Amino acid sequence: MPGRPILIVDDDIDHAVILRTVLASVAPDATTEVCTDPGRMPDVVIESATDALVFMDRRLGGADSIAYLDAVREARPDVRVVLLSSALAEEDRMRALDAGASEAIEKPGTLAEWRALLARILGPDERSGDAAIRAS
Amino acid sequence: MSIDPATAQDEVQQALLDSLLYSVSHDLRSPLLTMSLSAELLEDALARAGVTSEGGTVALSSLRQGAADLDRMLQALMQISRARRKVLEPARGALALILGGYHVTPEDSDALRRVVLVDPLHVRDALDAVAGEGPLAVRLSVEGVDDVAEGGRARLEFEAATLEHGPTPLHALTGSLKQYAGTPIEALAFAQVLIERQGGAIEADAPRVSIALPLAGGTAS
Repeated sequence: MPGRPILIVDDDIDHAVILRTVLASVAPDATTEVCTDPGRMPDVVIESATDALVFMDRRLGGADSIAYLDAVREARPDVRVVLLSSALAEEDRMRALDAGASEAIEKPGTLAEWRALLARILGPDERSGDAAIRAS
Repeated sequence: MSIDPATAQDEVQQALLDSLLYSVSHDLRSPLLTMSLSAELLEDALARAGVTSEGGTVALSSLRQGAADLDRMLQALMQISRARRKVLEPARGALALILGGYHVTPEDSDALRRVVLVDPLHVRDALDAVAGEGPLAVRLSVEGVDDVAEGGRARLEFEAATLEHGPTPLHALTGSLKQYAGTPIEALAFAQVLIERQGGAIEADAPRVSIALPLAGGTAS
C-alpha cells in the first residue's frame, strides 16, 4: 500500500537535495516531489497530492513561510505540514503550531538525527509507497 | 511629544545590532548544515563504494569537527539573539524558591523570604548550569529593603569555575566564543540578557559572579 505522498519545499536547493536523499534512505518507496521556487508558494502546497506530507522551510525567498500556513489549513485540511528551520525559537515554533503546522522543528545537524526524525514523522506505515521520485 | 535624538539613535543602533545578531546566528547555520551533512553523505557514499583513504578520512573528520565547533559558536549567538528578542511578561519569585537545593548563606534570616521581580526560571537555569551535577555555594544579601522603589536589590554571589574573564559573563562569551560557547558561561550570559531586561544585573570578577535582582516589597509567606 502506498504511503503518503511527500512534498519538499525549500528554496535552498542543497537542503532540499539532502532531505530528499535522506528520505530516500528512510522511505525508499515514497513518492517525493521537490519545489525550490518560493514564487510557487502557497499554490504548490495547496495543489499537492491528497493527504500529502509537506516538509516546508521556515524562510522561503526571504519571506516567513509561517504566513502561508493559514491559507494551507483553510484550503487543504488533509495536508500535513512539517515546518523546518535552520534555527527556530520557541516562540516561532508555537506560532507555527498555532497557524496549523503539525510540527515545527529545527533542522538536525547530523544524518543520524535526520534519519531518526524522519522515521518518527513518517511512522512505520508511511515508510513505503510508490517508487517514483520526481523533482520539479 | 518630542523624542530625544540620542535615545532615538540608540534605539536604531540596538535594532541594527539585533538584526545583525539574528542574521549572523540564523543565516550562517544554513550553509553550515549543508557542509556538515554533505560531508557525512560523502563519507557514506565512499564507504558504500568501498573506497578507503587515510587522507580522506582525516579530512572528513576535520571537516566534521570544524563544523561542530562552528555550530557550537553559532548556537551561543542564537541563544543571545533569542534572549534579546524574547517576549517577557512581568514576573516575580521568592528567593527561597530560586535558591532551593543550593547551599545558601543568607546575610540575615529574612533574606530567603524576600521576593524579586524577575522570572525565577531565568535565574534558576543559570545557577543550575553553573552547578552542573555538583554543589553550588551561594552567598545571599539584600540591600535597600526599606525602600524597594529606590533600588532595593537581592544579591547572589557564587563561583563559576570556568569563568576567566569579565566584567560580565556576556563580555566573556562575546570576547571568546571559542572558549565559552556551550559552557555554563553561555547560560550565564543568556541569563544576564534576560535579567538585565527585567531590571537586574550580572557582574563578574572571575571566577566570582554576582547577580543583582530587583526586590519587590514585602516578603513571601
